[in-house]
Amino acid sequence: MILKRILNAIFLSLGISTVVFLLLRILPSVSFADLYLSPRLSDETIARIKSSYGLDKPVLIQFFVWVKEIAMGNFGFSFIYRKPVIECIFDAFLSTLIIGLPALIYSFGLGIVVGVQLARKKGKAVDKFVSVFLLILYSIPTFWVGIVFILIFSYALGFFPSSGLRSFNFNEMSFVEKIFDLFWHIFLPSFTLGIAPMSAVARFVRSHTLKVLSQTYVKMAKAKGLEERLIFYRHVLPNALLPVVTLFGLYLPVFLAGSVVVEQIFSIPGLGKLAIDSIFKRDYPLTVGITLFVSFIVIFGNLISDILYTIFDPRIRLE
Amino acid sequence: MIARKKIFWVSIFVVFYLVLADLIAPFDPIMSLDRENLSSLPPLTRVYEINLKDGGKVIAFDYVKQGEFVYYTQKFSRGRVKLEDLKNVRSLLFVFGTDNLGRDVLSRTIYGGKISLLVGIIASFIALFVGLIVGVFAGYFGGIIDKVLMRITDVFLAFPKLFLVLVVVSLSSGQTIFSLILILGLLSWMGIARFTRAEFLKLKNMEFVLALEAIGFPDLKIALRHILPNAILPSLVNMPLLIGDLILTESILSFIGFGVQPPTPTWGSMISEAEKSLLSTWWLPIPPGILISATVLIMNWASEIEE
Repeated sequence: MILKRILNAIFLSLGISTVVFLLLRILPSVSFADLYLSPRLSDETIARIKSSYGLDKPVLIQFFVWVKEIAMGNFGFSFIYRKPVIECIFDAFLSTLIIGLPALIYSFGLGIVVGVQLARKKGKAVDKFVSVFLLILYSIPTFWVGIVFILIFSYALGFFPSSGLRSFNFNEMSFVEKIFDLFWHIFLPSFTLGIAPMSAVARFVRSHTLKVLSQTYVKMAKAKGLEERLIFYRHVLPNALLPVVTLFGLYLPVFLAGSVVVEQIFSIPGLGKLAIDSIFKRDYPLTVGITLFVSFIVIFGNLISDILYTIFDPRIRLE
Repeated sequence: MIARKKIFWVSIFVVFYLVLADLIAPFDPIMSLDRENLSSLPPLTRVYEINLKDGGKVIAFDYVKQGEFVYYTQKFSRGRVKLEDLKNVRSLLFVFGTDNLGRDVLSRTIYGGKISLLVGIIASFIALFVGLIVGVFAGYFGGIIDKVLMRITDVFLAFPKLFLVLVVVSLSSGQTIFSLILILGLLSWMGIARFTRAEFLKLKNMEFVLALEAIGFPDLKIALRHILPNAILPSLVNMPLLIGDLILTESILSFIGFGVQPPTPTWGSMISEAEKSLLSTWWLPIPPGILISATVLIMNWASEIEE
C-alpha cells in the first residue's frame, strides 16, 4: 500500500514537472533566451546564448535534461541572485517556516479543541453562535485580516511591529532578548496566517466528531451504562481525531498560499515574497523553481499524512 | 433551507446586483470630480459642489453667501464667485470617504464588486464546462480514458493553486480581465471533474442506462442527454463555493498586483492600493474587505449542506 502511495507521489512530481515545462514552452511571452536579448545582437551570439541554455536541442531532449536537473536537486540557476535556485529557496524557506510552524501548531491545536467542544454542545446556543463565527472567519481573506491587524495592533495601539522579523538593534541583544524579539515579531503574521485554517479544522473536527457520535458503538457504550465523559474522551475522541492527520496534508497548500500574502503584507523575506519578487523581476528559473519546490512539499506532505493515516487507523488499508 | 433554494436566492441577488451596480453608485468610480480638493477625505465628509451658470463648477468644503458674493473655502485655498453667476449648490456626501486620487470609495466598492463577481462567476462557468467534459468522458467511457484523465486531474490538484495561477498569469504576456478569467477558469475545473465522474460511475450501472443501451441509443447521447442531467447536481450545488473561492483568488492576485489592472477597481486591487498609504488613509481597506468577506460568506453558506 505504502509503496503504491510513494509511486503515486513520484508520478505526480513527474507530472507537475511536465506541466511546468510545457507552460514554459507554450506560453507566448516566454522563451528563456528571448528575454534578455538585445536587438543589436548578431545571429551568431543569439545562437551561442541559445545553445548555452540548451535551447538548440530537440524539445524531447530538453525535457529529459530538465527532469534530470530537477532530480539532481538542482532547480536551476537564478538570473538575479546569481546562485543556484535551491540556495535562494533554502534561506527564504526558513523565514516561511518561522511564521508557518507556530501558525500550523496553534491553528490545529485550537481548531481541534474548539471543534470537539462544539460537537459536545451540539444544538446549544454556544454551538450555533461559534459555528457561524467560524464560518465568518473562514470567509475573511487573509490579507485583509493582516491589514486590519496592522491598523489596530501596530498603528493604533502600538503593541506589535508592522513588518520584518527583527528589530534594528537585533545584533546588540542578549540571547533571551533575541528570542523574545523574534516572538514579538512573528506574533501578528503567525496569528493572521492561522485564522482561516483554524476555523476550517474546527469545522471539520466538529462535523466529524458528530458523525462518530452517531455510530452504533457509542449507543452500545451508553446502553452499557458507561459514563458520558468516559465514552466521549476514551471511545469517541480517538476515532474522531484520526482524519485530522489527512487534514494536515490538505491544508499545507492553504498555509503556503497564505504565507504568500502574509509575507507580502508584513515584509517577511520568505518563500512567498521571493516568489512574487522573482515574478516582478522576471527571474523565470527562480519562479519555476519555487513553484516546483512548493508542489513537491505539498505532495510530500500528502504522502506523509496518508502513510501516517494508514499506520494510525488499521481500518484504512488503501486499495 | 435546502441548497437549491439557497442557490436560487443567491443567484437572484447576484443578478440584481450586477444590473443595478452602475445605477446605485453615486459617483464615477474611475474619474474624480476634483482630484486636488477631494483627495483622501475621511468617511462621512460633506462637500459642496457650487455650479455656475456658465457650466463651471467649484468643489468647496464650506461656503457663505454674503452681499453679492459667495465665499467658499477649499482644501488649500479660498475664493469667491458672484452671486449672479451662481446656478445652484449641490451637497455631496462621501459615506466611505475618498481615496488618494479623490475617487469616492463607496462608488468604487460597488463598481469593484461587480468586476469581482463577474470574474468569479464567468471563471466558475468555464471551470464547470471543462470539468463536466472531463468528468463525462472519464466517468462514462472508463478504462484507459478514465485513468489518463484522472491522472491529469491529480497532477493539477497537486499544484498549490495560488502558485500555479501566479506562474501562469505572470508568464502569459498582456494581462487583460479576459485572460485572467480564462486562466482562473482553466485552473479550477478539477473538483467538478471529480464530482461528475463519481456521479457517472454511480449512475452508469443503473437500470435506465441499461435500458437505453438495450434500445440501442448511441453512447454520447445516453451520456449527455440522460446521465448528465442527473449527475450535474453536486457540481451545481458546489458552484457558489467555487465562485467564492475564485473571488478570493482574484482578490489575492489583484492584491499582489497580477490581477485586474488599474484604473478598473476590484475589491482586491482597492485593498492593494489602500495598503500603500495605510497610515494616512486608514478607511480605504475597510469597505472592500468587509464586502469580500460578506460575499464569500454568502457563497459558502449557499453551498453548505445541512446536517
